[in-house]
Parts: sequence; structure tokens; C-alpha cells
Amino acid sequence: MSIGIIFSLLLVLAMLILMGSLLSYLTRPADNAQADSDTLMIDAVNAVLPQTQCAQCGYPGCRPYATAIIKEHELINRCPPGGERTVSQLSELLGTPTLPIDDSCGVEKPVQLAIIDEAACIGCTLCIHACPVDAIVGAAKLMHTVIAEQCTGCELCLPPCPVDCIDLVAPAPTAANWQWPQPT
Amino acid sequence: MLNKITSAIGLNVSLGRSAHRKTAPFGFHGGLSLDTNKRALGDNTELCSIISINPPALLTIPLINYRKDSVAPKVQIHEKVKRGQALADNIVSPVSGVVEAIEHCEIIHPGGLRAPCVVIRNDRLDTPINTDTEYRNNKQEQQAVSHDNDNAEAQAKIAHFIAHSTTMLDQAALVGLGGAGFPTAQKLLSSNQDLQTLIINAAECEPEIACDEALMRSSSIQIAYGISALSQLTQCKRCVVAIEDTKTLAIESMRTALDTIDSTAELMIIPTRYPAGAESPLIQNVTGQFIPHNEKPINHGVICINVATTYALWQAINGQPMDSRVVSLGGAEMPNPCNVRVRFGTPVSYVLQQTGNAPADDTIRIRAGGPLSGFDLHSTNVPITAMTNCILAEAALCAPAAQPCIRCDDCADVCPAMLQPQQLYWYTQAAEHDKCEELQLDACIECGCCDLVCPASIKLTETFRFAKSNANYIKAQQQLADDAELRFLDRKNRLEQKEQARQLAIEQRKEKLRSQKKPDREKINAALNRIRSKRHTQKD
Amino acid sequence: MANIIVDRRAAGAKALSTQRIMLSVVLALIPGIVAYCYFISPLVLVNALFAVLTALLLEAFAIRLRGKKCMPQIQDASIALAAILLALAVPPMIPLWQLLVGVAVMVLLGKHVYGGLGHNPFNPAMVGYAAMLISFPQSMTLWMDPLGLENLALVDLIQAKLTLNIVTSNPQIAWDGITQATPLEHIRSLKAQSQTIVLSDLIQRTMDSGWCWVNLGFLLGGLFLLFKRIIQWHIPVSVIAGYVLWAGLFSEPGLPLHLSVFSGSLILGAFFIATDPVTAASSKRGRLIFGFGIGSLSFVIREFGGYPEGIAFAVLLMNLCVPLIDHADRQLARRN
Repeated sequence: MSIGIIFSLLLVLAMLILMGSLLSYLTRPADNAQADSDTLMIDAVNAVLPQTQCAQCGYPGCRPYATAIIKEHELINRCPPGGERTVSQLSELLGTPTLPIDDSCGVEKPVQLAIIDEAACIGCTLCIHACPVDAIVGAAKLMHTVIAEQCTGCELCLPPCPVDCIDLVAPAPTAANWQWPQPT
Repeated sequence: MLNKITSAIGLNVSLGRSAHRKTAPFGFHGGLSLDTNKRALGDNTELCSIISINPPALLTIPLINYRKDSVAPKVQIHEKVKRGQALADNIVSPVSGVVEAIEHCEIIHPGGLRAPCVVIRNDRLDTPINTDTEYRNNKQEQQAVSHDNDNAEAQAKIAHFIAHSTTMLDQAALVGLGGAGFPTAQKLLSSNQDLQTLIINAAECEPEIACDEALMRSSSIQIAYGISALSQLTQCKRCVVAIEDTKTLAIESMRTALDTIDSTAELMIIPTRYPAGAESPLIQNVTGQFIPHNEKPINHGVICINVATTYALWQAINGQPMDSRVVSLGGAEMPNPCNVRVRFGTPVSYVLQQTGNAPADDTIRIRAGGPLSGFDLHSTNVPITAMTNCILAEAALCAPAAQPCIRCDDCADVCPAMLQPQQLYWYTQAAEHDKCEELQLDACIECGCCDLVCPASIKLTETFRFAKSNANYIKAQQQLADDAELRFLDRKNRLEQKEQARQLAIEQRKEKLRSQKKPDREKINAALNRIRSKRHTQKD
Repeated sequence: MANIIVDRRAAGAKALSTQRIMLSVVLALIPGIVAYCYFISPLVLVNALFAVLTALLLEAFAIRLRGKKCMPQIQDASIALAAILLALAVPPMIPLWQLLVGVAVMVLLGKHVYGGLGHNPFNPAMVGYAAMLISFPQSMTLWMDPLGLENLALVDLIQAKLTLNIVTSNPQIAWDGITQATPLEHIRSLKAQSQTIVLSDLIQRTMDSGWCWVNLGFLLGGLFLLFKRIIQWHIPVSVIAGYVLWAGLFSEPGLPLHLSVFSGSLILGAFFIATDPVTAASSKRGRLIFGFGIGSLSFVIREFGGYPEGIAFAVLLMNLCVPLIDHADRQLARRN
């Protein structure tokens, strides 16, 4: 009987040690553990933000908002273009609870693309100056056009246009960026 | 260390059902033995011809390359084009005629997308671009077969091709006819490294697809010359033609052809097992090497060329750029299954109609590609391209509802990429992209084997296709976002510099004014004094 | 919406559905059950029928509670298989109300609290069995001596099944006729009394009790499953190998190995219980480790534990280890 008890104890102990050491070996932290400094955190937050530079959050661009989130503990729900996905990524990154998008900043919309009605454009260059990401080309008194791949759909070009010739449309999928539908 | 232990006790070897062999063909992990079901070959007798159809009045050529990016057209609307004339990079006109439009048309695509296309009105003359070479239409081609048998002349043609390979490949517009449509010239010209093995892929493993088999039975001698030209061009140490063992007639025909021209290429008979014709399993079978999904075979001294591409190469050597392919018409609901040579740009509906296969009613699904790798078409008014190896007609399908995964692991047993489909499924459902990347979702070749064995009828392949395209989409979006930020920062810097420059200019002007104030006042006073003194003198 | 998925029918798919797999396993149990009825007690049929019916009803109830449609989920027959396994694991004379408790634990706590088929970490049948073993230790060791059956009329048997406690309410059944009848129990009791084990007597007893034949029946069914490729060899082989290894090294001298393999529920456990794919490790290497663990633990429990049979607890303990095994295996595969 006593040999039985000892044997069982040893076997269980051996299994515990084996599995414990295996588990701790497999889940050991990566060698390049990130230093938890503010700059790195700002970079990380900035990488999550959609870079529309639309200023709907009340900051002049995505990086300033990222800086405010880290330095001034600004809320993470002020980015309507990023939507729920960005909020959940931020909450995961920062370890804060998720929040619904702040209505005062705007509402989440599908990705959009600005299109200039070239016949109506008078070539005033106001939209070119308004575009935060240099996605509109043109010159004074010449027709302007939007570089579709570079437009972030921020809507900042809409208010300055004196003849209201800019529309926002949903981008048509191309063969290159088409996605297979999600199975149901 | 753990690796050493497991390999020491022999657990490192694959425990899958198809054990790897020690001699060639080496076999590969997973895969399935499926009914080959090649309806397009008819009753599998020697009498198996490839039907030719006249090209239609209007042809639509998509301006899209193998990466699905649009390419710029090299022709203009109303321009007259000749057969074989370049419409864009590596895309040639399949007929002579007039460019009627360059517009968005529906293409063969799982999402029924539209893409920029060149629409050509056929003048039915087939005027060739290569005026120096006698152009042959189908009738003359028949005569050419006996002509080609003249080995010496063929070798001379090959020598001419080797000498002018860059320009000739450029004109030939060859793309892989296996299904991915990779530009052959790019593959061959990147192979000037030490090439160990040139594999001619004649496996054609998917059920229903039989275009390569039909071609091998009917035109083996041209294929043999094409292979000869390829092996001379690439200077490979070894050239292997890999054929599945069930294609007995094609094996016989290829063996005779290779013997006839004294080819050094060896014929390798590989077991019939889907997906033996996919690049990675094929290389494993022939050379025993496993090439990681993110590396190119060429860097391991191997390239794979589809057997139909070698035929097209021989045609190109004879002056005719690649502008057609053999398409298998099959499926349970195809009234008249056959193999048909179709010019690129011919609508699917036209092909079906010309071969007496027009669908009887709306319930019949027309599918592009095989039962595993293909997809249903949204419309049949879409043009055949180099990637369209097969058109199937199938009855309406009611897919069984998916049940919960019971972790039976059958999917991992059959996965030729040695992935863990059930775990990948779990992570794709949870949208854990990092985990998917860790488990090498990218290595999935979308062969559909896991789907076929899943007892719970889970749509694994569909899920992985979605997850892969979604991951790529997210990456592309991230790239766009990064670019947008760079442009934003550039703009900010620019505006700041402008502002600084403006401020500087203002400062400078102020400074200038300030420094000019005194002399000005003096000058004015002097001037005033002058005037005053003048007046005084006048009064006086 | 066009069909963009793999066209299974056109590709000639021959995959077994979950339902077919489960029903094949039930089919494979038949030789064992027939032997059980003949040599041990036909009451097992009553138990199995009762367990299957109540399990199906309870599962329907549970699925409705979860707000799902019950027909497609019940049709997969997985709970019916689990119920039969539970009925085979418990003594045939178990009162039905106790079996009902076991079935309820199996269906509700073993399966549906985790989200149904595919999500349960523990083998449901073994969860039910363990709950019964802990709750009703007396009736769970109430093994019928086949010789004792002759004294009982069918009416008595049914009456016995339906009453609350068989031991107290049926004085006709002789005490020594119904207890301590399996060979393993016999060995245990002999050891407890420090008596020498007479081998020939033991073999005789094993053959008499028919357990050997029952296990041969299960082995036959297991080989059928292997042949039909419904299960793979890794788990059964490693379970038996794990057990035989330790038993060969440490068990009492004079007790032949084949006797201990064929006298308990090791065969049933190795081929039918441990092979449940939902709760087993998923990779081949993982399954070998998983099976070896079950074999080893069942030996430890048999030899040194408080219970004569250890398969159930061994399976449950190794179920606990499955996530670890899977994780370790994935890491290993990645590093190779």
C-alpha cells in the first residue's frame, strides 16, 4: 500500500512538473518585449487609427488624437471612420472598456470616395487646400480631380467647394481588392 | 530540444494516410483519391478530338494581369488590329478587326465583377501580325503536323528561338494555362540561375477537367518539341513530364512523341491523387522537396510549366502568339461534353451554343473551373481567358447545413499544405488574424480537400478564401492608411515651411521698412525743404 | 447568390456525415452488447433503451432552452451514442432513477452547458458516469453474478429496476450473489484480505463471468471501426500500450497481462470512449500522448486508487490536458 501511495504521488508529481515546465516554456515572453514608453504607445495607437485625417475627433489629424489618447487620456470612441473595429482594437491595446462611437463626432459610415463633377468644377483650388492627404490634383482655373486610391473619404473637401460639385460615392470593388463573401 | 526528442522516437515523420515514399514519385502529404470523372473525353477511346469553333463577331479581352491589376491598353478605340497584335502588356488580340470599345465589361469572376476590357469586332480575316511568318489557319495547321515531323527543321526553329528568346517570348504573350495565369516569360527569364529540374505539369488532377489530356492525345509531337525548346532554353539539368497514371492513352502518346524526337525529357507516372497537379504537391512528388509557401520554386532550382503552355510555346515558335486555349466542357448537365479550342475573349454562352450545349433552363448552374477550384458564373456572357480551363453545367445544388465541428482532424489528414484546417477555421471565425497568420493561412492552396472530407459539412475552403482575401484587404487598407499618413505629414511640413517662410518674409519686410524709415524721413524732409525753398524763391 | 463553394457532389465527395459516424460507432458496439446480454445480463438493454430515450428528450429540452431548432442537432445521434456508452459502463442492476440522474448530468452538465456538440471539453458519458460513481457508490459497485440471475424471475427483475433501492427492497436476491462479481473487484477484495491469488481460479472466474467475451466483442467492434476508418489507431493503441507498459512493470507478479486487459473496461474505453474526437487531442502526435496518458492513469487508479476501474477518471483527467497537448503540439509543429 505504501509503495502504491509513493508511486502515485511520484507519477502525479512528475506529470505536474513536466506539464508545468512545458507550459511555462511554451508561453515564455518574447525576447523583444516592448518597452512601455509613451512614444511607442502613441505609435501603436496611431497604427490602429484609420489615417483618414478627417479631424472628426476634434484633433487636427490621427497622430494628434493618438497623442491625446495616451497623454491626456482622451476617450477612445471619437473616431467614426474607424468605427467599432477601431474602438475594439484600441480597447484591447490599452486595456480599457469598449465604448459606443461618440455621436458628437459623427456616425460610422461605409468607406467612401470623393468624386469631382468635372463639368461643374470652376477650378477654384479651395478643395485642393482643404484635402489633408493631398489626394486632389489640379491648378487654378483648371479642372480638378480626385486620385481615387489616395482619397480617404474624410469629407473635408465638401464644405469649401463654392459650386457643390464634389460627391461622395461608395468605391466599386475592383478585381484587385475584391473579397470573397463571408460564408453564412 | 523537443524536436530532437520527438524525432528520436520517430514521431516526426508524417503520420498521414499517404506515407511519403523513398523513391520517385515521392508522394505528398494528404490529398484525396477522387473519381476522375472526365466527361469531356467521352468514352475514353482513342478517338478524342478537340473541336474547333469559329471565333464570334465580338470578342472581349479583359485588361487584367495575373495579379488582378488592370493594365493600360496599347490600342485606341477604332484602331485596326491584327491577330497577335499587343493590346496591352502580355495580352494580344485573338482575331484581326477593329477595336470597338474600351469599357468595363463583366468578366469571369466569383463576384460577377466588371473590369476594363478591349472589345474587338472581328473582321473574320485573321490577318496575322507576323507578316514574315506564313500564318496558318486551322486547315493549314493540320498539314503542319506532318511538316513538323521533319526533325531537322524543327531543331533549326528551336535554335532560332533560343537565339531570339527575349523578343520572341515578348511577342508570344505566353501565360500559364494551368489556371493561375502567371506570365511564362517572366518565369523563364528569371530562371537563368542554376536550374535543376524543369517539371512539365501534365497531372491535371481535378475531376472533370480534361483539356490537357485531350491535347496530349492529339498533339503530343508539338508538345514534345515545345518541351525540347523549353529544356534547351532553361538549360535544366533534368526535365520531367509528370502524368497521372490513369491517363494511359496520354502517357502512351507522349512516350511515342518523346521517343520520336529523341528527347532527353523523362516521363514520370505519378499516382492519381488530387491535388497532384498543384505546384507544391507536384514538386514534392517529383523531387521530394517541400517548398515553403512564401518561397519561389525557382530559388530551389525547380520550375513548373503546364503542358498546354509548352504546346502554346511551340505555336509561338512557329509565329503564332498565344491567343486560344482548350476548354473542357463537362458536368452532369452538359448535353454534349467535349474539349473545344476557344480564342480568348469568346463569350461562354457562345461556346456553349456552338457546341450544342446551350443550357436547357435557368436551374442549371454554369461553373467556371473544376468542381473544387471553380465557382458558379453570375452570367454566361463573360469572356473565356487563359485561366478558364473548364466550364461545367451542374444541376441546382442544395448545400447541406453546416454542423458543429467535432474535431475529427480528417481535414488535417488530407491537407496538402500540411495545415490544421479545423484550428484555422476556429480562428477565422473569431477573426483572429494574427493566429491565422501564425498557422500559415497564406499557405492554403484552396484545393477543397478539407471540404470534401468534413463530416460536419463545414464550408472550410469558402471560409479560408474569405479569410485570405480579407487579410489581404486589411493589409492593403493598412498600406493605404500608412501612405495617407505620410502624405498628411508631408503636407503638414510643407504648410509649416510655407508659414515659416511667410512669417520670415513679413519679418524681413518689416525689418527693411524699419531700417529704411530714417533715410526716408530725411529724403522727404529734404524734398519738402527743396519745394519750400523753391516756392520761396518763386514768391520772391 | 451564385454558388462559389466547393461543389461536393460534382467532386464526388464521399465524406461520412457526423450522423453516419455516430451510427457506425453504435453499430460497432453491437457484438459487445450481444455478448454482454448473453454472459452478464440482458438488463443492459433496458438500461440502454432507457438512457437513449431520456437522453434524446433531455437534449431536445436543452436545445430548446438554448433557443435553437432541435431536430437538426438531435439527428446527429451523438447523444444517443453517449447514452449507450453510459448504459454499458454502469452495473446492469442500477436503479433507473439513478441512471436518469447520470443521463441528466451527461446531457446538461456534460454537453449543453458548454454549447453542445463540439464544444464540450469532457467526454459527456464519462461525466455522467463519474457523477453516478460519486453519488451512488453502493449501487455503482453492484455487479451481478450471472449465477445469481437464475434465481430471479423476469417480473422480479423489472420490479427491482423500478424500485428505489434494489439491495434493501429485494430480499430474495442473495447478497453474495450480486456483489463483487467482476474479476477486477474480485482481485481487489482478495488483495484487501491479503489472500494469495490463485491464477487458475482467477482465469476460471474470468471465463465464467464472461467479461472476457464481452471485451472480445468490443474489440471486434473496435477493429471494425478501424477498418472503416471511422477511428484511427493512435488512441486505442496508445491507451492499451500505456496500460500494458505500467502493468508489465509494476503489477503483482503472477497476474497475467491479458487477463487484466480483458477483464475491465479498458477495451471499451480504448476503442469507444477515448476515441471521441470532440474531447480527444486533435493531432496524431497529440492523440498518442493523450491515449498513453489514459492508459497510464487507468493503471494507476486500478492499482492504487480507491476504485476498481479507472478508465472514466483517466479519460476525464486527460480531457483536462487536451488544450495543453494541442497547444504544445502546435508549437512543436511550428518549430519543425
